[in-house]
Amino acid sequence: MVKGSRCIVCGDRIDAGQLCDWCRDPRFEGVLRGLIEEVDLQLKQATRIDVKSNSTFSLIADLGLLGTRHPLLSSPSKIIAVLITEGGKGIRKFKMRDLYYGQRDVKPFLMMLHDLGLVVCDEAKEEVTIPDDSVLLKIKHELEVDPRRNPAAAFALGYVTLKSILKTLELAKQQVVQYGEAVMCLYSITKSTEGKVRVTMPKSYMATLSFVLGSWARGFTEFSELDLHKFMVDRGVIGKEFKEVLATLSCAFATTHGLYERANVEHLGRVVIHRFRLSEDYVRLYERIRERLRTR
Amino acid sequence: MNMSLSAQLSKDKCWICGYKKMTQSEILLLPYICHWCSNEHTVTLINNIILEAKERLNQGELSKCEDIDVLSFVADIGTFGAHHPYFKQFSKMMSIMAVQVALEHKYTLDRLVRATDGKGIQERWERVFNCIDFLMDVGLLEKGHGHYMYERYRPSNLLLNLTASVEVTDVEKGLPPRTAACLAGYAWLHGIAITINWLKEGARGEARGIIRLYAKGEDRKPSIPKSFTAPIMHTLGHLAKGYDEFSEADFRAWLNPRGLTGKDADFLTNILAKVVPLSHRLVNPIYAGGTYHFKFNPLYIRMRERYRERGR
Repeated sequence: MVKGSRCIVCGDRIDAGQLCDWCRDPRFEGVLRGLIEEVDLQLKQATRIDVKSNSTFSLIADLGLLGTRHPLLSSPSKIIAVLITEGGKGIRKFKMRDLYYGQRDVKPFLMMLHDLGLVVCDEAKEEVTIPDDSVLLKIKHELEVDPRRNPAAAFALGYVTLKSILKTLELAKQQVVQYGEAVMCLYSITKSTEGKVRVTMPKSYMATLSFVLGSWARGFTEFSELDLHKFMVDRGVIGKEFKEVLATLSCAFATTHGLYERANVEHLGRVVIHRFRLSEDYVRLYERIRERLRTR
Repeated sequence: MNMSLSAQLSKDKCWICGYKKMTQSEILLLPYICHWCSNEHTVTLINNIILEAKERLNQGELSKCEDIDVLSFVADIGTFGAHHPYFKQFSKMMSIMAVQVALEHKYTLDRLVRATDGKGIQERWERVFNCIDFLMDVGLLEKGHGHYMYERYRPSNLLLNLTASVEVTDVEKGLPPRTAACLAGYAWLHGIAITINWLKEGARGEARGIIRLYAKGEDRKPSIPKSFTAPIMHTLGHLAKGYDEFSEADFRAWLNPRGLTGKDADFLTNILAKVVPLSHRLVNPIYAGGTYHFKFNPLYIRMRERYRERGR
């Protein structure tokens, strides 16, 4: 059973429960649910994941892009990549042992993909099958149609992460989230010889995602490096790790996300900071989702 | 008196917002003023606001200051001044002057002196004359001829036009608070623009604009009313640069090099957050994640966009 002093979504220090005030906010859950419902609805109708012109898919892909460089997420990223490329060739069945990258147990992650309908796992046979209506195949179709600088592959990671966060928020209201449940499937969980369980979360990704999503859910369209720094310091993301997060958000790394239409430098007297402005498409998407939530 | 004022200004600080310069290059590059206050976008925005506000006031629309975005913005600036412990006396003087001009088409200095604060009668009279000089700079008074002060420094057409639109019955009561704030706000903003221009030109000759009103210590050295000018310049600068939002962390980081820390910064944040009862509409505060997040009034964002479009 998970009983830690940190929020299981963003890693903030907390006194009790499993979620911090930022992640427990009803606006956060409401807007996230609205977004996921919108994505699921569009996924049913779409034959490919057009992340370049569809703002809903684009947002999910952009959020996924924030985590593709994280070392703790390299194994899930590689599994998704193999499933997309091999699935595109027509290979639908995989042995679980072929999907191991490093020593990390991939079963919880594959079971999560199974729950989300991306793959079908047969634990007895230790086999993974890609169903015909899998999102992974739709991503492959999109990459075949438009392979140039297409971030569609990041859609899978973003979709998986956001769905698991939503599931975590729903589960945490009813019961204590267990190891291997919801967002915990993305984390590395090890057990020492003394029986002590250690959970390692990709904090710089999850905290960034929580900040970006939380700010978006609250209707903020602009934020500065100082806001981000305050948020990250509370979650233990400091120094070089924080600089990496900042570089990722300002597209200084090779992560060509389109979250922000403006990321410029501003002089506040003695300090120079970065200031970000959310893309207009995502502001409109937020208004649409919020309007829908209001009418319910 | 004003000649000596310019000689007393040090080059290592901004005489508008109080920014203290730390490097020699900063001082040499921009003496008397900081990069924020001298920013081209900020100055253009202030000039545009003054231009439109003047036009509106000339048309006698002072009483509609709630409905017209530019006059509402100017009134918000005036509200800050009306609650500043030192600047509120000038707001009061302007309000009394406007009412008396509306009723009697003249103003008398003894009424203005009554509105001032000061240690002695000499200091109080000095503040009245400073205020008259300031109003001459911003165009609410103009030079005339005659024996009396109200003839030598007679109300300009602008002041006569705007006082024609207000309904008042008693000089002592002054203008309604929002109308008075609008009038004062116009004067402050115009005064700031004049002083920025004067400082950018090297602070030569007689001091001009809002700097005339700065309080002077026993050594006759002016002191900047930072808790009034700094939040105004922050708001104007932010708006001019095209931003729609800012956070408490940004605001505090900006105030810090201006010497506004601790309780001063808390108080100014509380003013913006409307925790202190102040009827401004500059920003809408949202409390999230343990801090405030401020969004500019959509009316003012549209006003800025209008000016930018016009400029384009």
